[in-house]
Formats: sequence, C-alpha cells, structure tokens
Amino acid sequence: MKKLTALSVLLVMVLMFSCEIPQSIRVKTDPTLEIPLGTRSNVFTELIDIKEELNSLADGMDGLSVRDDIAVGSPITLSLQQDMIDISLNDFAGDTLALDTVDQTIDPVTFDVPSISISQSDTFTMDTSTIPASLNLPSPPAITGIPEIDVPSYAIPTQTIAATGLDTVEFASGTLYFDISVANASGGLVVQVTNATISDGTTTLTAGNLPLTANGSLEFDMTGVSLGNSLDIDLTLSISGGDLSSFDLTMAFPADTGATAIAPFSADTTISVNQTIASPAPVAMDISNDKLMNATVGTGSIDIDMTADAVWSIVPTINLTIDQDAASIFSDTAVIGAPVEFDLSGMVIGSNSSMSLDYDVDLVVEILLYDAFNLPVGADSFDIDTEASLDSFSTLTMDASDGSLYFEQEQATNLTSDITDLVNTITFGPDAGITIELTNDMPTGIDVELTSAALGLSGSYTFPNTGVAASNPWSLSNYDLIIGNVTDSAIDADTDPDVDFSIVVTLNGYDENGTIGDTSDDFLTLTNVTAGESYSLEGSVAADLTIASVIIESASMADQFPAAGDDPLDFSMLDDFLPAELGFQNISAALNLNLGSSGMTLGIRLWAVYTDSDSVVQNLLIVGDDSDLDGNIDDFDSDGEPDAPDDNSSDITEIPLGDAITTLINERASGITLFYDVTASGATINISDPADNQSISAVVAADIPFVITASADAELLIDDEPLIPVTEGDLFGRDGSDDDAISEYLAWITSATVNLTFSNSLPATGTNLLGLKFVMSEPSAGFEINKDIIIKSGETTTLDLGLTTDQITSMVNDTTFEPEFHIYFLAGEHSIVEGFDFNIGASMTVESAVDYVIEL
Amino acid sequence: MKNNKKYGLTLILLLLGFQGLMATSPLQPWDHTFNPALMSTGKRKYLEIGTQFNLAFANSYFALKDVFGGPEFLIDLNDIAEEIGDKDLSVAAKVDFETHFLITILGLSIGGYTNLDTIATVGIPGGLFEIMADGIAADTTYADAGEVFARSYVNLGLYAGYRWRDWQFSVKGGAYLPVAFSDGDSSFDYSFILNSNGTYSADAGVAGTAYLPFDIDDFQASGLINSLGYNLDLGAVKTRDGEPIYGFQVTGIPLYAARMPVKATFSTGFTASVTDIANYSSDNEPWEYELEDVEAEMEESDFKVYMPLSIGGFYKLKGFPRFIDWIAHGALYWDNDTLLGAAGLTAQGAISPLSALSISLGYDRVMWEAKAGLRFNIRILEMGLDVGMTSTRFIKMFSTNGLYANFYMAFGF
Repeated sequence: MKKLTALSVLLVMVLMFSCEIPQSIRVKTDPTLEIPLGTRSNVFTELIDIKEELNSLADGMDGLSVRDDIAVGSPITLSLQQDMIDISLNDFAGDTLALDTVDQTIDPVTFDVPSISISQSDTFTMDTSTIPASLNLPSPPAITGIPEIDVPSYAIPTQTIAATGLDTVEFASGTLYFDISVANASGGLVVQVTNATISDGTTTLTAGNLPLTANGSLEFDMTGVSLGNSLDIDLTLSISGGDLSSFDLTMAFPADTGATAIAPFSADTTISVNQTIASPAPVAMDISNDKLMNATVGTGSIDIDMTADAVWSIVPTINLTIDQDAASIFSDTAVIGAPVEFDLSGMVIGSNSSMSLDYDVDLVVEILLYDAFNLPVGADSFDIDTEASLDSFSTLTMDASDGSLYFEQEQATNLTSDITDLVNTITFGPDAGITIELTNDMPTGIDVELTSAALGLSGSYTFPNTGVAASNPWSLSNYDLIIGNVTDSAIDADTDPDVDFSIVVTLNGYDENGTIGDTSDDFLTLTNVTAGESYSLEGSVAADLTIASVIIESASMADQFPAAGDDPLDFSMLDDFLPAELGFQNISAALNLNLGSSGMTLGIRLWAVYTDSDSVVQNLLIVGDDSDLDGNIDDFDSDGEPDAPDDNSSDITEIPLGDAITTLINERASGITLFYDVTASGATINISDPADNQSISAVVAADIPFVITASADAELLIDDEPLIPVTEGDLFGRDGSDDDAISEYLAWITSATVNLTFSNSLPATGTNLLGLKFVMSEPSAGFEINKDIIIKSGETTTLDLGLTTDQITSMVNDTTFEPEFHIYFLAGEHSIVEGFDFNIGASMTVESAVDYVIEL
Repeated sequence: MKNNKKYGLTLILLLLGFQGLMATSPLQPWDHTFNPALMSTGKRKYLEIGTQFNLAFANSYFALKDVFGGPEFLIDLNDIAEEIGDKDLSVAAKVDFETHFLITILGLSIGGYTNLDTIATVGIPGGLFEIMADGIAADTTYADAGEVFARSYVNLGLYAGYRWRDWQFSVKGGAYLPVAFSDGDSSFDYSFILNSNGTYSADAGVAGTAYLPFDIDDFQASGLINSLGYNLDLGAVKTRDGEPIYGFQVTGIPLYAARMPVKATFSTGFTASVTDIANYSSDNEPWEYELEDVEAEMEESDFKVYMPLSIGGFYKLKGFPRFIDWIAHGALYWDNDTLLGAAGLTAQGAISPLSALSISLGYDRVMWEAKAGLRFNIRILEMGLDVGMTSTRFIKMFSTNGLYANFYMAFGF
C-alpha cells in the first residue's frame, strides 16, 4: 500500500515537474473550402440578348419582326414579310377606289325671315297746374263819371274781362247773372239798360231791358252757349230824369257765396283745356336679323289704344313716325277716339340698323262741371297702348355672304399608284349612279348641279319648294373611268390621278355676285315671305359607284422596300452579338405571288442593293434579268423600253429567295434596299361576277431561324470584350508588399477545382444546342486549361476545371497571375432557341494543408 | 528539468516522513462553506485559526503535456474538432480563499470567517474548430455561440456552534459582497453562409453585462458598505467518535440582498455580405461589411444579488469493506439565475496506513475533479496540500486537462 501511495504521489509529482515551456506553437489543419462563385442566370439573355437585339433591329424596319409564335426550344426566328403588291380587286368599289366619299349630307340650312313686334304701353301725365282750381269771372271795373244826361242810348265803353285757367266754357243750360249798380246818382235819375251783350268774339249773348233804379241784375240765357275765356261786355243805357250830374255804374258777377251764388252755371257745364304733352322716348324697333339687307312690308300695322280716368274727357291726337337711321320711313296722324290702326303696308325697311317708333300727343282735356264751380278731383294721367305687328314682306333681300345659303361639294378620290399602274379602264355597273335628295322647305326653288371631269358628267336639276323630300338620280352606267389615256374624260395617271365630283346647290333668287364659291358679296332676294318664319333646307348626296369591270391591258410598276427616305435594312448589327465566323443556314424565304384566276400575265424582277462588310456597294439579283441593275428606279423607268422581266408567267406562285437572304445576312450587309419592277397585262376582271372576285399580291416572306454554323471556333464577345473580364492585377491580390501571408496560404493548397454547372429550363429533349469551349489561360505562367462542353436542351452538365499540381505551382510562382477566361462557340452547328434560359453556376473547391508555426 | 525532479522527490520524501499523513477529505473545518458545522469538527478542541487557498483550472481538450510536453505546442485543429465534436471547447477556473478562527468551550463554539469564492467558465464553440478543420461547404449555415460565466463573492461573518451529544449544530451569519457577477446573457455568437448563387452573409457579435459593487471611477468605502448583502448558513453534523458521519446544511439563506450600484454593458458586432459575387465588377463591388463600434456603458443600477442558496449534505459509510470509508456529498446551488451542482465520492482508507490514501472524484459547479491529497496534522498545526486533475468533461477527468491545487493550514489547540 505504501508503494501504491508513493507511486501515486510520485506520478503526480512527475507530471507536475516534468513540464517544459514550449518555444513555439504549431497549428495544423487541412480544411476543404468550397467557395460558391455564384450563378449567372439567363446568360444568353443577359449577354447576347438575341431577341432584344432583333426586336430593336425590327423596330426600325417595316415588315421585319421577331416571331412570337415560336415554341419553346425551337430556334428564335426573325421573320421578314413585306407586301410588295397587294391589290384586292373586290375592293375597287370600296376601300381601294374609295369613290364612296361622294356620299355627303347636305347640312340643314335654316333661313329666318325678320319680323317686328312691338307691344308698348306709355303713360302720359297732364299738366294740371294750368287748370284753375276754381272758376271766377272777374267783374269789370266800376265805371264812374257817367254823365247824367238824358239820352235814350248811351253805350258805355266795352269792358273786357278774362278768365284764367280755362279755354272755353260750355254751358248746357242755366242763366248768367250780371249785377249792375248805380251809385252817386241824383234824385230822379232813371237808368235803364236797353241792351247788354257779352261776347267772346264768337258768341254774343244779349240780355233784355233792365230798368235800373239803384241796381239790378242782367240775365243771360246760357243754354247751349259756349264761351271763351275773354269776354267783352257791352252795355247800352237809357238815362233820364237826373240832375245832369254824373253817376257811377258798377258791374259785377254775383259773389261766390254758396249754391245760389253760382247760379250763372248749370249743373253739367263743361270747360276744356288744350295741352300738348311731350312725347315719350322713341320705341326701338328690333327686326332681329342681321342678315337683312332691305325689305318691303306686305302686310303690317300698328294698333294704338288709350285708357284714361272717366272723370276727364280727353281727346288726344297722336302723331306717329317710324325712323330708320334718323330718316323717316313712315308718318301718320290720327285721333284716338277708339283703337286706331296705322297701316304699314308698303313701308320700306333698310338694313337692320337703328329703327325706332316715335309719336307725340296733342291733347284736349274737357272738364265736366257738375254742381259746383270748383274743379272735380280726378286722375291726372292716361295710358296709350301701342301694338305693332308685321305679317309679311312683299320682297325681302338677305345677306348671304357667310356662305350659309350656298352648298358646293367637291370630292376627289386619288387613285393609288397600285391602281393607276395596273388598271387601264374601270366601267361602272348598270345601277351605278349618284342620287341627290333634298327636302326643300325654302320659299323658292333650289338648283343642283353635278359635274365630274373625270367621267365627263355634267347635269342640273331644280327642286321646287314642295316642302317634302324629293330626289334626282344621275346614272353612271354609261360612263367609263379611263386611266392613262389622256382624253377629255380621262385621268392623267401621272399628273392628276383624281376621280372628281362636284355638286353645287343654289337657291333661286340667289345672286352669285362674282366667282362661284366666293360668297363674300352674295345675297338672296325672296318675295312674299312671312315675317318671323323659319325656312329650312336639308338633303343628302348618295353615290352607288358599283364597278362592273376592271380592264388591265398593259401596266408596269416599280418600287422599292424600304421606301425611299426610310431607313434601309441593316444586318450589320449582328456583328454586335454574333462572331463573324457564325453564319446562318436553313433560311426559308420566298416571293409569293398570287394572281388568282385573272388570266394576267405578270413579269417581275427583284434585286437588292447593299453594302457588304468591306463597305463595297453590291448588287444582288434575286429574280429576273440583270441587264439594268443600277439600283435606280427612275433610270429604270426612263429606259423607254422597260426591261422585260424574264419570269413572265400567269401562274407563278413562289419564287425562292432563301439563298439571297442568306447571302445578305451572312454578309452582315447594311444599307439594304430591295427593288422590284413588275409588268402585267391581259386581264379583264368582271367585278360584278363573284367568281372573278380576287386579289393580286406579291409578298416577300422569309423565316430566319437562328440555327447558325461556326466555320471555326468563335469566341463569344460582348461589345468586343470577353464574357469574363480580365482580372486587373494579380488574381490573388499580390502587389509586392505583404505578400508573404498570401503566398504562404497559396503554398498550402494541395488541390483546386473550378466547378461549372450549366443548366437550362428547356424541355428535356436532349437536343444539342450549343457547343462551347471554356479556356482559362495565363500565357506568362504557361497556364492553360480548356474544356469543351455540349449544351443540350433540358440537361444539366457539370464541367470540372481541375488544376494540376504543376498548374498550382505556376499559379503560385507567377506573382502577377492574371488569367484570361474565354468562351468559344465550337466549330459546328448551334441553335439559339426560344426560352433558352441558360444558367452557369460556378464554385471553387480548394483543399489545403495548413502547417503554421508561431515562434514564441 | 533535472533540478525540478530533484526538488519534487525531496518534497515527497519530506511529506512521507510525517506521522499524520492523511488523504484528502471533504469533511474538514475548511469546508465550512459546504457545511457550517464542519468548522467545529476539527482536531483543535479549544482554539483554531485556519486558512485555505484553492486554485483550479480546466479545459475540455488540451492536456498539460500538450502544452508543456515539449518545445512545440501543437494545435491540431483536425484533432480538436474530431474530439470535441459539436461541444464547446470549454475553459473553467475556480479560486477559493478562506480564513477562519474558532473558540470552543464546553461544546459551544464561536468564531469568525472570511471567504472569497470565484468561479468562471468560457465556452468556445466547437463549430469554429469544425470550420477550421473541415472547411466550409456551400449552402450550409455555420452558426454557433459561446458563453461567458463568472461569479465571485467575498463574505465575512461570525460563526456559532453547539455540540449536543453527537450532534454539532452550527450557524453562520455574515455579510457578503459580489465582486464579479456576469449576467446570464453574456455571450458571443457568429453565423455565416456561402450560397451557391454567389451571395454571402456573415455576422458575429459579442455582448455582455456585468454588475459591479462600486463605481470604478469613484470608489468610496461607504458606498461599498451600502452594497453589502447579508445571509445566514445553517448546518448540522452527526459525529461518531469525533468524526463526521453525516450531515446536512442550508446555506446562503438571504437576509438582505446585496445591491449592485453599477451595471456595465458592452457590445460590438460585425456584419458582412456579398450580394452577387458572380456579377462583380470594379464599378459594382458586391460586398459590404460593417464593424460596429464597441458600445460600453456604465449606468446606475439597483440590481439585487443573493448569495447562492444551497442545500446539501454528506454521508460517510465507514468500513465497507472494513478498511475503506466511503464519503458521498452533494449540494445544489441556486446562484441567482443559475442552477449549479456539486457532488462527489471519496474513497478513503479506514485504517492506518491505508488512511493515508484516498481518491476523490466529483464535480464542483464548473469542472470535474480527480484529486489526492497529503495532510500533515500534529493537532496544534495542521497543513495539507491537495492536488488533482480536472477537466470540464467527465470522460477527461482523469486526464491532465487541468490542475487542481489546494493548500490549507490551521493551528491551535
């Protein structure tokens, strides 16, 4: 046990005291690092986006497109389709010839006859200040100093008195009393009025004898008497028995002392007062039509009536005038005892400017006295109502300078060069014609003229003013549209290829004061029109231009694609994404002709002018003779005798163009223009026969699948740069300073592999798509790795780029290791297909043996 | 080297020459931190003054011979990764310093004590070694985390015990001060992945929280006193012929929690990413990285820390067989937010001279221990030295992944 204990203790102590302080620390490990370098998805979409490039190519050129109906996995296809000739003979009467533009609607025209309508009420106010509040006859002054002489007849001087506030006084009955007093007479004087008169100059009243002793009253019978407001009083006296001294005579009307004091007047006595009342402001007369030039009134009147208070008896006399531009065009006077009518017939109205109605009133006011001498209280105004109406004009002239009363329609259909080049004569069918329909509600007849220089057509027709729709047809069945032969009734296809129609609609009474169509000074004169009436005109023009037949005798046409001025085709941009070693094949292209059963003989020539990759302009004959291929259409047409295309045929259906298109594309040609010329003859096409309905077309169509062949290994470049950029400086960052750690680590590397994984999402058909070569090289290090790989549809392929020991060594030793990575199309056939989502995944696996010593 | 061996042999001979050579045992007066009643079970019946210094460290891989076995310290990352597997490479340390005095009259004991108890562990994630040894593969997320744990308490107080028949009942009451207290969320972690599509991402972070009993920049003794906590320990031991036979205890009964007036936090991190390495170009560098600034903050706190509450006991099976005594002990510690444990089994010779031998195997909170000891005891002076092997892994507890050393002494009569 002691040994055991000692041994245990000894072991512990040995352990404790056998320690040694280490002089260094060594770290060892051999990790394997798998470093993913990422995945580049859609590599070909990203790097050589064929479809995007092609769409960009196609955007600038009509007829070029990228087909969108290509199935996934099939080659991306550039499609070229251009209609060089496309004439549908069935549409000659429709869209192509487009003569139906003759169809027109004559816009409704409304003609408004002017009128006058006045409804006016004026209130007049009398001047009552001139009418006395009461009637007082002033007494004559006393006559003094009358000698008391005994004379049988002594006339005293005429005494005149004047009553204010009245003009005349009419008495119905009654007695006028006139008091006479004698004063200062001596005894025995006998004075007797032997004759007494009161006279207003017109009427003289006489009183009987009146013996006067002291005083007395003369009495005048006033029954039916009318007196003015100035009275002469004459008395003749008989004087006797006095003292021959003088005496005084006083004359006076009885004082106004009450009912009895007014005895001189009877109960229904009237007095009258004359007034002239100022006219009211003239009434403007609006005829409400600014197109009126002049008119004579046929029927029209102004009616005036008056209403007034019953207390007054008013007898107005109205003086009525109508002025226009300060000149009177009507004047008349009438007493308004009852409604009065002024007849306006024959009044001539000028153009619509400043007409006004004016009148003044001469007024006689009769005041009826009743049982008092004071004036009765009554209204001091009265109303005059004026009504004016205009029924008709015997003549009326209206301004038509705005053209609203004039309808002229000219239609010209420009025949396209397709027609003028190809067609010689167009004949119309039996039902062809132009029909004009009008509803004439105008107060006059309407003339319509239809002319067509192209057809030699000229005719006219007058539509009476029936107010109901009526029509007139012009038949075109006997007219032919001759194209190309310059005659009186033919179209010069070169200078004026228009089919014209002219329709002119005018109203009777419409005065064309000058050039037809220039309406600036036109007017319209109508008779017997109703004032205020609206007259209208509406109608339409309809054309039925059914074509019976089209005759093609000899025609030629020439054109180019793209059209002059448009950008030419350009395939040179393919260089941007396809190496020059890559060429297309299997291009199917054709010029497809469709002449139907027209019996037409067609000759065609087609060639291309382009600039090749060496910038040399080239001519490429595609179809036809090569005798005159200078690319100048004008020269071609001006040859006088057109080159005869050598493919005359009536049943050509397809001319192959594949080789030519292949040449243009693989040449990477630029500035491409396709020229063509065509001659046609020998066809008469009966349009009315459905069996003859057909079209003539020539279409260039090409499908250019992106199946390409590399004549030799061709590097895939993007903008002339390799797909993977060259590393700038040493791949591992060695720059000559502090490189020991990097170099030490690189020295630990025992193996390195770059793993590339290629995948695509296409259907797994296993079809070969691309053959690629991957090259990693660094010439200064003598370093090169290259591997070939075939990319197949739907398959994932892995490529291991394993580095040999020597390569690792050279990589380590080359302190400026700048490898280049290149990807090549292998020589052979490649197919760039639709939906080719090509992905490359990369990772690097590095195995190393780390043995690192840290000295302490 | 020769000199070292010479000195070691001399020391062994000296130790073997003492009469009272004894083996290591968990039932000694210095173990009153385990059970308070053990303070009164020593050999000095009236007065005892003692002290103890205990130091241990361990790791889960490196043996002493690996580090100190030659002129070169080899770190074979492949071997480390293979051996520790998905476990952490853990490092643990333990420091315990103790003093006490005891006066016993007529079975009644009074005394005082001071104690510093420190444990700490650091876990280095095994994933790091796996990466360094095996490398990395694409599309695999590498993530792991390590932890830091540290607790250190200083306590001092008074002791009282009473012997009643064969029972020793004791109580300790005192103040304690947490010197270091790491929060449970102190850790560091990392995560990264390299994807096949060329995108990389990586992040790492370190964060920790520690509570301090005083402000480092403004230390004041009065403030330190205010931080003190108070606790009570109770223990009872059954003795036979003066030797402890079995006992149990409850320690760390809180009376008043210690206040930690300062909360220290720090954190930093690192993030990096590569968006698409395949599309790298000089104009479009795909990588981004950011090293976060270290954020350290000291703030006021009223965090309460309790002494670890422990319950446990021991039992000595004597003479089974006749010449071997078996001592088993165990305890659970609720160290605030962390549950720790300690347990062990000691085989000790029951009769002389076998009583000089013992083997003790056990686990003490942060490490496994296999130790042996020598003790010199002439009653008025007792001193001893325990040495042993430690490891943070059970299966390596007999290796030299760590060392344990314990020196203690007491004198009195």
